[in-house]
Amino acid sequence: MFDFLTDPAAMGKAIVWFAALCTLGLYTILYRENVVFRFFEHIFLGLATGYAIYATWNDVLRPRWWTPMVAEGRWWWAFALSAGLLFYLIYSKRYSWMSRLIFAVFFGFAAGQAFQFFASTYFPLIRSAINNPVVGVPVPTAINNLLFIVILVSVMTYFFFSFEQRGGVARVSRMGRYLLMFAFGAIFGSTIMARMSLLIGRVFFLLDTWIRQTILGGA
Amino acid sequence: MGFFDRLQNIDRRVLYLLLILAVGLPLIFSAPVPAPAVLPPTRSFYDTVEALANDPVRRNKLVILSANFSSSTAAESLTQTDTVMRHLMRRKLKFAIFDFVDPQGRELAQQTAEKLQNQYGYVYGRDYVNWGYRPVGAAVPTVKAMVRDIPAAIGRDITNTPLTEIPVMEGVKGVNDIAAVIEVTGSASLPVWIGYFQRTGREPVPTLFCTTAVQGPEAFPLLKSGQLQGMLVGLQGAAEYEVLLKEPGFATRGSASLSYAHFLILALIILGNVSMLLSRSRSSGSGTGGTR
Repeated sequence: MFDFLTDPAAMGKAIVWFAALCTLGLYTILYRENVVFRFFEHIFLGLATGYAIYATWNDVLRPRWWTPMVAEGRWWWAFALSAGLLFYLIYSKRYSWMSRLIFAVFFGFAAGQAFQFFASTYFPLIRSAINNPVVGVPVPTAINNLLFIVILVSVMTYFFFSFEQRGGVARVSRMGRYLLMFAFGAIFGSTIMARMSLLIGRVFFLLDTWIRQTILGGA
Repeated sequence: MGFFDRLQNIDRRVLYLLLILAVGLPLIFSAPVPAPAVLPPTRSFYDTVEALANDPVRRNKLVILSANFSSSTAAESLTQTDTVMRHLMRRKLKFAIFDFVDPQGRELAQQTAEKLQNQYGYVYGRDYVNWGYRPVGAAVPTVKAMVRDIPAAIGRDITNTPLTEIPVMEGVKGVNDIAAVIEVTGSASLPVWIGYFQRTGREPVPTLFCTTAVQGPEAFPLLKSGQLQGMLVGLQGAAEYEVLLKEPGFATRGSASLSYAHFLILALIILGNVSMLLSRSRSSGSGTGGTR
C-alpha cells in the first residue's frame, strides 16, 4: 500500500495531488468560511512551523551551538542557553527584572546599529534628492528634475504641523496631499498586481502541473 | 432594485469566478497579448549581471543570492529566482544562496538550482553553494560579520560542510570578494544589505533587487540614488527578464493573464461607477431623492 513512498516518480505525483487538494481546500474560502478551509490552513501553518524548526536546528543551532558544545569541548556555549532563557523570565512576576538584563544588551546592539543604518541608507537618498539640476542637462531630464523638486517640496510642506498652514502654504500643502494620493494609488495598483500574480501562480499550478502533467500525463 | 442597483451589488462569488476565468483562460489558450515591454529597472538589472560576467576580475568573485521569501509569494519571488538563476548559470557566475527571513527561501532556491543545474552544467559545491538560513534576529550581526570574514560568519553550508572546505568558496574572504548581492524578497529585508554591507568594502557592492509588486513603488528612489543597480518588480519584472533572456516561461504566460485580470478589474470599476452615477441621476430625476 505504501510502495509509492520508495518510488520517486509516484512520490512526486502524490505531492502534486496533495498540493492541489491543499490549494483547492484553501480556495473554498472564496465561497464562504468553512471547516475545509480551516483544516488546510492549519496544515499549512503546521508545515511552515515544522520546517522553520528543522531549518533553525539544522542551519543554526546544531552547527553553531550544539556541535561545538557537545562534540568539540567548548562547554562554555552552555551559558548561551541560560542567557537566552532570560528572555522568558518576562513571564514571571518575581524574576521579570532579570529579563531586562538581556533586553538591555540587545537594545544596546540595536541602538548602535541604527546609527550605521541611518547613515548608509538615508544619506545617499538625501544627497540624490538635493542633487537635481534643472540647468545644463537635457530638457527631459530638466523637466523630470523640476517635477521631482516640486513634488518633494509640496509633500514635505504637507508634513509641517508646527504651525497653522494658511494662504500659499496651505495651497502647496493641499497639492502635497493630492500627490501623496497619487503615490498611494500607485502602491494600491501594484498591490492588486501582486495579488493577481499569486492567483496566477496557483491557477497555473492547478491547470499545468496538476491537470495537464499529472492527470493527463502531458510532457 | 433597478438594473443599475443590481450592477452595484453583484455577488462577490460571481466576481471571483470571472477573475479565475480571466486568469485561467489565457493560460490554457495562447492569448493575443504582445510581449512585455522591458522597463529601465529590469534592463539595468540585466546589464549589471552582463557587466559582471564580462569583467575578468569580478566574474571570479561570488554573487550572493539572498532568497528571503516563502511559498506565500512564490508566484513572484520564485519565478524571479528562476529567471535570475538561469542568467547567472548561463554566464557561468558563481553564487551562494543565503536566507535570513523565512527558512522556506533557502529550500525553494535550492530546489530551483537543482532543477536547472544539469541544463547548465552546474555542480553543487563547485559552482554554487547554499549557506542556509539564519533567523531574522541574527541577520544584522551575521551580515556585519560577513564584511570581514564570510567563512567564519556563516560557518557551514546546509550539508553541514565547513565553508572553508567547499571549492566555490576558495578565495572568498569578505565583502571585497563579493561581485554583487541579489536580494529576492517579499519582506522588508533589503535594508540589511544596503545599511550594513553595500558600502563597507573598497568599493560599493552592486545590489540588485527582486521585489514583489507590493513593495516595488517604495524601492524606486533607491534606483535614483544609486543604492540599487537594477530591480525586477513582481511577476511582470520576471516576464521582462525572460524577454531579455529570450527564454519565455511561466512569467511570460502569466503576464498575459495579468493583463486580462487588470482589464477585468478596470472594467468592473468603470461599470460600478457608471451604474452608481446613473442610479443616482435616476433617483434624483424621479424626485425620490437619492444619496449624494
